Amino acid sequence: MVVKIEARGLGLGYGETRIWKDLNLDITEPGLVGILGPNGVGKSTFMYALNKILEPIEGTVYLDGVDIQTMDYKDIAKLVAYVPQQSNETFAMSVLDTVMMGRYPISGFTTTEEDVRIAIRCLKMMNLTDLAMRNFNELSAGQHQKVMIARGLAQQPQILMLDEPTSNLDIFHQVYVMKLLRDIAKEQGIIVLVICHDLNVASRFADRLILLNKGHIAADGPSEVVITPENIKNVYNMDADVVNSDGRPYVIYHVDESVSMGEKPPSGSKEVD
Amino acid sequence: MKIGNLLTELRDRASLSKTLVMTDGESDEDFVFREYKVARRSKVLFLAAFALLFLILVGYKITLGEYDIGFFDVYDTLWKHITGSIDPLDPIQRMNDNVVWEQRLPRVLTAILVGVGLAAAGAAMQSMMKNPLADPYTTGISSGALFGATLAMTLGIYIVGGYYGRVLNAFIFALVPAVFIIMLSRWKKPSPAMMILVGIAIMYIFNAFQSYMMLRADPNAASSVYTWSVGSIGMTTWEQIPIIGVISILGFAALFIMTRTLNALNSGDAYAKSLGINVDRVRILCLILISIIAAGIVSFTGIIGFIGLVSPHIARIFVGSDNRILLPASAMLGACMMLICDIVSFLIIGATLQIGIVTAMIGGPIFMLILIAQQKEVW
Amino acid sequence: MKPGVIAAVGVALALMIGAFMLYATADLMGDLHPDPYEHHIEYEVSGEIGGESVTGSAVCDTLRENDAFHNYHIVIDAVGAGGTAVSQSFYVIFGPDDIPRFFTESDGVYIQDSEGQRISLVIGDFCKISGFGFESAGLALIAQEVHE
Repeated sequence: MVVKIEARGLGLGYGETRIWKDLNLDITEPGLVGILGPNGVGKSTFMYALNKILEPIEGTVYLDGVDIQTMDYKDIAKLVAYVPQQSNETFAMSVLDTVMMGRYPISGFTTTEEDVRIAIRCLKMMNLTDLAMRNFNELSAGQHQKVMIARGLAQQPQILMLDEPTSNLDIFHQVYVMKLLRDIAKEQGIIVLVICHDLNVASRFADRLILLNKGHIAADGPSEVVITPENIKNVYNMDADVVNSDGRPYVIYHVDESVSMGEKPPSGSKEVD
Repeated sequence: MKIGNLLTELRDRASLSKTLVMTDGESDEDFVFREYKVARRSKVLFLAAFALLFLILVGYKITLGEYDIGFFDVYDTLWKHITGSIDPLDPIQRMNDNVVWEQRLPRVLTAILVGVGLAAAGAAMQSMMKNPLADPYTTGISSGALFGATLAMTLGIYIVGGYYGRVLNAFIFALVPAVFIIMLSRWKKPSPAMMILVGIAIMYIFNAFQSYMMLRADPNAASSVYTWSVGSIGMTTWEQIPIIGVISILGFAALFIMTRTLNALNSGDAYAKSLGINVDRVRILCLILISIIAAGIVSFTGIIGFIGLVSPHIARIFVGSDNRILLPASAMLGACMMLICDIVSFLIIGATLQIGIVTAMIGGPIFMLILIAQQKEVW
Repeated sequence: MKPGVIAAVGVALALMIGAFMLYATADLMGDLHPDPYEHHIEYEVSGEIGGESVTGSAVCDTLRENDAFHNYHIVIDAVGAGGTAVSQSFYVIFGPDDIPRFFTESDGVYIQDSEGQRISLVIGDFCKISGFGFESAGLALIAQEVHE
């Protein structure tokens, strides 16, 4: 049973800065949902609103019809798992212990054998079993990311949110992690939200894409609808052709050699009027 | 570095997990599960080893003292006391009983309770602040206690009078920084940085007043303040043991309940919140517990440093950073460190040196050794 | 070396030096104001043993265990006129109230009777034993503090 996400009139910001105003969004079908958009447009901020890491300035978020403001952090944690972009552990534990932290909302203080086995299974899914007993701080950035994804999986959530989970991974892992996320979304009937920068990988695997720009939703729908040359030009200020590959849109970028980055107007923005 | 290699080699040889090899037909997952079980077992073994060290130290310490009682006589006296068979007509037995039971035992118990309390508070503080240099006094508790004690000893100003006037003064003022932080948290998020800054600010204010009082005090009173501030366990009798015991043991128990939450704080506030932890509330609760433990101990013994700072680091080398094992291990090592310092102080210098000096002199070099010798990036 | 390590080493050094300075100050102040309960007392001993007259000396030293209590050890070294050696020693423990434990007070003198021995103490301020008497079978000694 999928847990529906509904946002109504959502306004988000930090202190004086407003990032979102009157955002309305429904995600009600299971599957892999990609969130795209330029830097600074507020993709992470949107995710923070979905599990109360950031409290909205106005508007409401509903999880399965329940206003999350009325929900306790603990209850939200049983439904929503969050995989951050970076890890900053001060005192690192072993990889397996780190992944087992994902079991905390479910098992509380004690660790059961079941918890250990689930964690190991998630490590296996991410191909990390060789590193299970290594200290988390000894790993590379890419391995950190994979461990964090495994940790999110171990939480067995209804909604899995990942903030740029593949930014440090090689091509193989970029592709196969996204494939894994899509397969999990299908098999377990859950919503997997991924913030992604690579349009092609997102296009290839996502069931739905949400393209954000300058404080509003520029496009929302399956890949064919969202990945178009017009959208790419409007949002990213890039010239591109879109072809078909494996039944999905594939972007071929054109670089304007005559212009330097400093001369191009910035795309997307933090502020909303 | 040679020392570093030796340390980690010792630890690795003791922990059995390096010797595991996958057997035929064993799946990856089963192998990892086996590795996990072995690693768990070796941590528990280390904990048991620390407990054994602790018992040996206690057993030895109680036989040490300027008052000459033979090794076995000490235990004989203890046994007689427990079974109520001290001969009231034999003055030697009665005096031995007094020395061992009324004088030495409270000192040993104080050392243990102080070690447990400060080390547990130190481990919790380091986790909560995500800072390896934190110790129980990081938020300004020691300067508050010193201020309160100076107020009592130089100006005779007591908040509550009576026999425990000075203790209560120190305790109440030691809690001032925590109260400030809690009040401030209504407007500013209680992040580690905020807490440390508030602690430093209050420390400067308290220090200024305290220095002024010392300048104006008569030399006798000033000298007493200095002596108190260094930290000693020589003044406690059975009357104070229950209070210190409750503070240390209950404080440890309360912190132990929070250990899994502390583990989650380690990964950052955003992720901890996503696990269902109300990060701000947890930090404040932790601060209150640590403050009560540290303030409670300091008000009786004066400022004993390094135990809260060093014990968690040593424990971490052997049992890792999982607070559920780290906290008890730290506490055990803290007690051992206090006993070792007291024993060293007696054997080398004579019974007159206060333990605050010894913990600094021994704890300091140990800490530096750990820093330099650490091979793995624990932090 | 990583900056974190240098910072931590610096902190450790600073704390050590701070603790040492405190100790030095406490020690200095202690020298200026010594502990009034710490005594090293020498006594002149006289008396008799089995008819012989005895002369000698005794020493009282402080034994520190717990600072709430004050313990003293008195060692008597005397010799009788006929060459009989007299060596005795005993301990006195004062409670936090500055009254010797296991002694009973009578007319300002503290007396302990046990196993054929009787010890009597004359006590001054800060648990100072200014004189004492030691009696047992055939032995009777009196000690007086030697005043310089």
